[in-house]
Amino acid sequence: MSLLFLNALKGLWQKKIQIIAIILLLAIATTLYVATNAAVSRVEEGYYDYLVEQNVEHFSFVPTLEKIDIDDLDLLDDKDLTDDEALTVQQARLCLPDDCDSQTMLFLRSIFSRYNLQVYLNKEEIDEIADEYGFIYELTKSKLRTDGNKYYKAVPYDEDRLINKPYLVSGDFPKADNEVAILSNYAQVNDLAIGDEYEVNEQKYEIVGTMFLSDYIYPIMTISTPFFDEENNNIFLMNEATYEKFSGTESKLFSARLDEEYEFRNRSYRKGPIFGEEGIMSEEAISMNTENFIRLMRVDTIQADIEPNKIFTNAFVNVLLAISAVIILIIVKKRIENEKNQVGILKAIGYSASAIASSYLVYPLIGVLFGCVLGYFAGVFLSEPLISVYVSYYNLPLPDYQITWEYFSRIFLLPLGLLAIVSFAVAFLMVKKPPLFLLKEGSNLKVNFLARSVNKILRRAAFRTRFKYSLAFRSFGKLLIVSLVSLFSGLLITLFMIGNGLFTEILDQTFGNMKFDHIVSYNTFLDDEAEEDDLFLNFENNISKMVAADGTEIDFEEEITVTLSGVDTPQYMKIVDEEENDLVPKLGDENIIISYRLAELNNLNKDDRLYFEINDEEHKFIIAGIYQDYFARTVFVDREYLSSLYGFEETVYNVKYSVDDKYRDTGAIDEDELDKIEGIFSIRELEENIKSEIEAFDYVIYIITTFAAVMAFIIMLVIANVIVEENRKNISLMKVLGYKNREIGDIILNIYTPFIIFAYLISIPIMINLVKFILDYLAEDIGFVIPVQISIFQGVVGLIAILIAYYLGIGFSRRVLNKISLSEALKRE
Amino acid sequence: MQEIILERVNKIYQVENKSFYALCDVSLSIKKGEIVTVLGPSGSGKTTLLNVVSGLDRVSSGAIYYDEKNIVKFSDRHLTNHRRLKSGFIFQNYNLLEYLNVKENILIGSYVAQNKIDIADLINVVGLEKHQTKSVYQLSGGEQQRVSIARAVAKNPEVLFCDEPTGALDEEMGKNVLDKLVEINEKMGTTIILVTHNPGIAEIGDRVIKMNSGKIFSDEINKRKNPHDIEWA
Repeated sequence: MSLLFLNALKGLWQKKIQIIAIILLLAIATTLYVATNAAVSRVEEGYYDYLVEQNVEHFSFVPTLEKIDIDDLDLLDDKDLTDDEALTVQQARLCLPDDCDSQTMLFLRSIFSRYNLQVYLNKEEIDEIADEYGFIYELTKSKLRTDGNKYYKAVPYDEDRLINKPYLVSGDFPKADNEVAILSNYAQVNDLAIGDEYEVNEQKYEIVGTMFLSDYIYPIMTISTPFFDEENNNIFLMNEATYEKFSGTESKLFSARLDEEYEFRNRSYRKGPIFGEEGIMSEEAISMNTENFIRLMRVDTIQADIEPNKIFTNAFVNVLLAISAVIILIIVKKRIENEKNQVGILKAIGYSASAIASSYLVYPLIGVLFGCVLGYFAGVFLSEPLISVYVSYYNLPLPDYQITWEYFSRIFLLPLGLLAIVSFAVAFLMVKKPPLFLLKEGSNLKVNFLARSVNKILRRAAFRTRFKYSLAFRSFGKLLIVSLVSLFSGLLITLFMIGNGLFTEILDQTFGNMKFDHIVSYNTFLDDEAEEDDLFLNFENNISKMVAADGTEIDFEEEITVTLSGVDTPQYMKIVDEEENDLVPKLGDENIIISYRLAELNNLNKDDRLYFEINDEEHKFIIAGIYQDYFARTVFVDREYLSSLYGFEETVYNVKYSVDDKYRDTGAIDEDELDKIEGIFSIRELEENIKSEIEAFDYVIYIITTFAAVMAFIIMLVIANVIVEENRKNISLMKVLGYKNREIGDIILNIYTPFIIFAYLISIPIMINLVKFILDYLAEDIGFVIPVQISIFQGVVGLIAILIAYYLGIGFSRRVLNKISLSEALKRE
Repeated sequence: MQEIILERVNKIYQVENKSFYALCDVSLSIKKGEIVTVLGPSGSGKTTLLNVVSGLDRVSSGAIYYDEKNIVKFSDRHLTNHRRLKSGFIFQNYNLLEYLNVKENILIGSYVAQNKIDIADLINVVGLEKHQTKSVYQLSGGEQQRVSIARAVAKNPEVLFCDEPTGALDEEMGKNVLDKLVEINEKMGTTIILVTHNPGIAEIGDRVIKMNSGKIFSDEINKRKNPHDIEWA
């Protein structure tokens, strides 16, 4: 037995290219798995423990503005109301609770919202809801201040808090006035230490601690900065008195935690009654606004990030492992074919089939021993930069890196087991034949039906053509192997091309259509015509029904909330389709333009219809175009028409897209307008913020897809080597007969080229549809759709790459072959 | 081609830092149309001689002239071209392309020829007309060797190099194969260099060269015998 192993091991040395390829394939698969998993699993473990230990909120809410009582108007008594606001309040005192028109109520709600009074509404009803659904809640407040591209958020520290307890990294929590505890990441990046003086808005504070805020795991500061910038974004805790003095825009809402032990890991609380079909949105006393959704993102994003990463990593590694198994299968099969006589002799002298087959386990053993170990260390090395990319996104303590049994078995035992089973099975099936059969000269080939048919079809063709194709088709198995392997390689190369620079391209397209600098939203409806800006009338609304152009209703399970945006002729916002055609002229009564994201997620097409409930009436809109935006949930309609539907006599707006520099600095805005502004959203800041973070995503995808391309390359080298090896005798013979290298190439080695090209061409649509399927599946979680396509140029480049790999493999293998003398090569094996 | 001349040809192998002479100072000349048989025991250097004369292998020193051109100095490409135009090969183990049928195996020889001969005639000469569409594995050893002969002859070579062509055959099959070789020599004037360890087979040649330890120790003119009359050792 040990001699058989020794024999197999020595034989292995003769097939250096093949074993090196197996080692590299396993090393790449293991590297990817270890690198991504070491990062993901550490973050994941830390995350779930943290949610429980810090009592992180399950959700947050605000009291609804739908239920403003006449008594609630007293809350506005001490506010410095404008004349319009005072008039509205006066009207409301006369018409509340039941007789107010919709316009008065709209204004009244915007006043409550503007003065941050929402949290004082509906107290009793909220308590009833909390009892019914079993949750506790407490007030959460913060103040946001911006200074250029720097964002500061002040949060009052209360050691008796039940929900969202802050996590102290070092030092102490602030007790005295003007003491602060700041974000740990911010302190690190900005080189701040405990005891340092820290100045914001000309007010000096003393840093007494560094911490994480448990409701800011993914610390989105505002909707303008969806990605955390650890250098410029800081959150600090301070005592209540210091907080009161801090100057900034205040936000107040309620954080809630369900009484029962809901599992964060599978988000079971989201399936609970309050998030069920009847949903929190339908409760009359409480609702969720944009800030509440942002808060969900702060806690949830990490999970939405981890899950697809885990799925992708595992799936991708399994694919790589499967490819390695197929390659091992091919190599073992070819090797036994070459050693058929030797195996026959071993069987003739009494070795059992299983003993001989076992000797071929050297392939998986050597592959795993070298490949997986190499891959493990490379993965650990690569995981460090990946972890730092992850950690820079999230604010939470991380456990130390540990090798678990599951981890060990996934890295070493699974590949070893799988590859060993494949190797043994194929070897056993081949060597179990009787010794005389194995000792017989030749391969006992029969001319199959396919070969006969090809011969008939090509009977009038030149000899060379007939020769090539009859040679190719006589071994259908070989043809299948070459085609399958080329298909695998094509899939990996296509993946590389799809993934390369994908996000950057999407962002360039999306932001390329936005020529404005700021989105200014107002807390009231304006009717002046500011011609230098683009004006919009925006309402959040739910799609109530979707009907296809042929009249069949389109099913949708979850509520689809969109921003219904009234627009007329924007100068700075390009609303264009795939071919860059301006879609705005298509807007008219009942016409609607939807985003690519909405269309893709819901299979909507031009001429389909969307229905919205506006002022208790259902209105139909016909889709007149689909504009190129992969993130937006905004749909555009004619502004004048939308104003009339909401009951405005004139064309009004509540959002403005502007290039005016004054919106960079709130001090430059006149007081009257400032009073009406609800928020200013810097589109350039958003672009910069997203792009800087997306670069990291692109980097990760680039690494993964480059590995895929390298694997494709290795696979093609292996298959080329196998082809040369198994034609070794034929090549030598043809050289003896006087065939030139070019002729041998044409007749023997290049016969698979058409099949490689064909397999590659098939692989493109397969991979595109596969990636599309996965991304569509993930689109709901990641919040945007990704267009999956490759250009003809990319397709051609991929084809050239795959052929280069193949011919390089052939060239390399032939160089080795050329070193063997012809007389030696033709000796009986 | 007038003749093949070997001048002081040596072929040395290095085995464990020791030089081993597979051919030692070998000189000879072979005339056009001759059947030359090389006889010797295993390890005597006869196959090495055949390999270097045919251009399958390189010499360590010495010269081999074909039409006054020293093929020792040929590049690999040039040597390939030389084999393509002038040489045919027949091996003990046939070396047929297993994926091709009988006719295709013969055509693979004909395809590179400048002076092709009629394949149908050739198939008749070697007696394979009934087997031409069969796979080679369906043939007996003798039949496979006849395919190998037909393939070698298909390109109408000036010299046919035969390395133990009957080594794997029984007497009857072997004699038939030899008969075909003699027939080809007589009909086409092809020079034949045949290596064998069987003294009986050596009798079909016009000259019998005897080798041992890499040296020629006898080179004698012989009166050809009909292959069917030889003693099969």
